Amino acid sequence: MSSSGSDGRRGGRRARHSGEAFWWALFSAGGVMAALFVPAFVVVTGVLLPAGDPAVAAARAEAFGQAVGWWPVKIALLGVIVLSLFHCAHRIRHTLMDFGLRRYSGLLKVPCYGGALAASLWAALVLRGNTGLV
Amino acid sequence: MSQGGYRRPHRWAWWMERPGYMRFMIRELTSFFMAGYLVVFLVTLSRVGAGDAAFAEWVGALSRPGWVAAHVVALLAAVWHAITFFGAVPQAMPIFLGEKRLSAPIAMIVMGYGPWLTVSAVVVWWMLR
Repeated sequence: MSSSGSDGRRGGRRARHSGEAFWWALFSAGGVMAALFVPAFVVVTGVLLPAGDPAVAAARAEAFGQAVGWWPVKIALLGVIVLSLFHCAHRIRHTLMDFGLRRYSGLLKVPCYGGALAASLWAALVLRGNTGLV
Repeated sequence: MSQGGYRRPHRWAWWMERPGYMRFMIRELTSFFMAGYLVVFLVTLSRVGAGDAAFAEWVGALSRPGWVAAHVVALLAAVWHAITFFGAVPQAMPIFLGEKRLSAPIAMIVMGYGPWLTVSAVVVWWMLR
């Protein structure tokens, strides 16, 4: 979870500047959500939904559509997706820094957190029922 | 933003120098695959709302070998993220019962793997029942 023991890259002196603490909070919450939910989501949409003969697939598709169409589930999905996206954005940014882009750490916020923000807005539109975008 | 002080320059492939570094980098790279999956998941959710025919067409595409392989990779990445995340629970959140610290395996099960399996079972049941 925290890697501050080995290299201190996510904590320490830098945390007091640059809003790093805020991103760290999103990162931690997103890490929990991604760990709890994403493996199951992959199993459902990537494995079980496309598998099986047409009759089974049709029944599963209908069940899936009803399950994710209920508004409390939509709200929960939005929370899980947004937090997971920011978790990934934070890790991707720091991984790119570890690959030699540390001097661009500020600039990397734009594609990483900007991408997470854009995908979050898209998620909100999708779950609100506006599906004209894809 | 000036950091000050001396930073030892290192090769971009520094993480290949030790197995521990390599494990660290594999854990970090899971985020790229999970981010990619989340985008595909959003496409799936948007197709649900686009009507039965559009959704059936998208699910049909997902059954092609390339998409199945991509999801297997995404699943490995997501599972590895969960294992490493919950594996760090005892260090990140030590639990004390009186004076006694809860042992690491029990803390991992109570605070990590147990909730993970429960949530996974509920999600799969709920989404496909």
